[in-house]
Amino acid sequence: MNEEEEKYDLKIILLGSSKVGKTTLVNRLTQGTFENPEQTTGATFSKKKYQGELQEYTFSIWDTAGEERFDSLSSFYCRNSGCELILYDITDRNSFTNLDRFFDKLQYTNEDSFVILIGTKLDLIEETSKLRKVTLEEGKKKANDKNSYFFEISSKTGHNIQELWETVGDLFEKNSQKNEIKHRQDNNHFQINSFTNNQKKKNCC
Amino acid sequence: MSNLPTPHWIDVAIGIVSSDDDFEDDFTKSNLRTNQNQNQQKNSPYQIELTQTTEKKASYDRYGFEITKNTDEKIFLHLLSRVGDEGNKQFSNESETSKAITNLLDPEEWNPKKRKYTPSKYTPSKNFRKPTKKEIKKELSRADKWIHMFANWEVYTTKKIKILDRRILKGIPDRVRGEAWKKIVGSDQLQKSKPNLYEQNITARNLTSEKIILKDLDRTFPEHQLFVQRQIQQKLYNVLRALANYSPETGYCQGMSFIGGLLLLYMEEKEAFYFFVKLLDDYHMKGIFQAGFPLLQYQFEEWKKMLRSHCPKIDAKLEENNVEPSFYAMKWFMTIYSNIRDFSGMAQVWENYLFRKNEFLFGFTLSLMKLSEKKILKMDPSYLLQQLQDIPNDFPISKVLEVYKKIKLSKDEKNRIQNLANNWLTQNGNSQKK
Repeated sequence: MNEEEEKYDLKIILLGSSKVGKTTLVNRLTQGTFENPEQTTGATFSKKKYQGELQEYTFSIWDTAGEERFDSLSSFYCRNSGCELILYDITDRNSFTNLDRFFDKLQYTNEDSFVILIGTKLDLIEETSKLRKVTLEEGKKKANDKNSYFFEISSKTGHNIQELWETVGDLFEKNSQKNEIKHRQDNNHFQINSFTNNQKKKNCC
Repeated sequence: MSNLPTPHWIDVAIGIVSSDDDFEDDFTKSNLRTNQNQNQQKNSPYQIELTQTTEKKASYDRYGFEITKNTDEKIFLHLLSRVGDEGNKQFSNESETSKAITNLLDPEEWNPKKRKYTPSKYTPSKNFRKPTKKEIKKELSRADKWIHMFANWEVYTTKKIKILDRRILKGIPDRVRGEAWKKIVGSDQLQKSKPNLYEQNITARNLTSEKIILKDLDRTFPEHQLFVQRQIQQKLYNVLRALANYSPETGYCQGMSFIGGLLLLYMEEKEAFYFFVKLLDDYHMKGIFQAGFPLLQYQFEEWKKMLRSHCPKIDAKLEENNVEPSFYAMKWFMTIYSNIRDFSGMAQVWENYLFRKNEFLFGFTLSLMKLSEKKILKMDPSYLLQQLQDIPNDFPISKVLEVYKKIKLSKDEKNRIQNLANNWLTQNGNSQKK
């Protein structure tokens, strides 16, 4: 593991078609704001702390460009990712039917990474329900088929944002506990894995 | 502006709506989002917003400042050329110049908090002081020199090219900037020789590109007051559509809208199209934007080599942290630094790029790295990715250009940079033959 990767505990990558609200979700998560962002060229990066049960973690968030042409790059960005948020816009049918090309990216991520499928722009439905183009059931079914977790959110109203973030944190903690046990068994003796080690270092500073 | 029968946004939008009803939804959504427009008429979705904009009548200059009676005369140092910018009116005599000066308001009036758009949070405050009489005169005389050069362009691009070179590096006065850019790129000539090219391409339809372009319009410089307005978005839409038709192998690619937007600040819609055509062809941006970004990848490879030989310490740090150029330099190389928040600085980068092409792009990036070396080496690796993209906003562009002047590229490097496009073209040609 190299230095950079040690510095954060989890790499989260956002995938999904153009204008489904990836950058908006990142802004909501990291700054608590809702505004119309610039188009993402390539990728942008941010961080957010997560307060776990025993300690604080730092998650890095990779926001990618959604246009198909940037796909080859996003495979590259997926390397070492431990959590994938795959987004679609519940008012845009195409963004839902297109989802498979993002699930295909999972081959580039960490083996034990977890996926959350997210339907965005829930606030629009609250105002005019005829805008909904993907039903809740369809979303759930897709998530189920792909063995992933599922949320419908609104970055505008903040609906389900906190729940989403806590789920990410929970899953991460469960995953790392599992890994720790596995790690100990693998090495057949007590060894603090690199991850907790790193965390200790950080606490000293 | 010419008598070009510009296909109206309205017509275009109707065309789309009839062929794809998603667009009506898109529109409803965007209005819900901005909490505007409750009283819809049932015509074309875009028509409504367009009339609304005309009613508003607020206008903004290319730096996003609202133009009102009072602010009209306000200028600050790096925007000096705004004096008499409207209609390219020139101040021919002393008294007019001094009248413009007396109209300037106190620098205290330039309270950054009152401004609707901050060109850059890094723009040093000295840029906002009231310019002296001398400075204004100097700026105006510089503009005059450029107008003289326009009249004798052939001489200045051959025998006197060193003078041209020097004057570009100094920065082109803003009020002659658009004209100068067109001359440097030669798009004015192209427009003369192929007067129908725009009409041909704007009437053709291309639904795939159109849908992507529509999604990107309000995501182009969204903090800039001017780009929030539908008028400029419509122009941008027209230009990008026409380009997608002109160059089907490129189509529309994200990133192009930033370039189109910048151009529209300095020239008319039709001129911006011809200009962009020149960029695609002569500046090989086709290779940058087409699927797989072939030329961009060549450029990144070359950039890695250059960074290694000129800034080995930075290179080592990036290498160690697996930081690839495509993580931090996409906007720099793809859209020629459209992420510089100081618009006049971005324009300066652009004119140098237009004149010196890739040699400038690489040299400038190298200068940035040299200036940021200490900072980058100190950077917490976990913030590296986050901060690296934004280093062009750490310095006034003039400072980076000072460093650029001292950068010496080897002959070999210069050759390699120049050959990048040729290598791509040969490969491209070969693959097309296959």
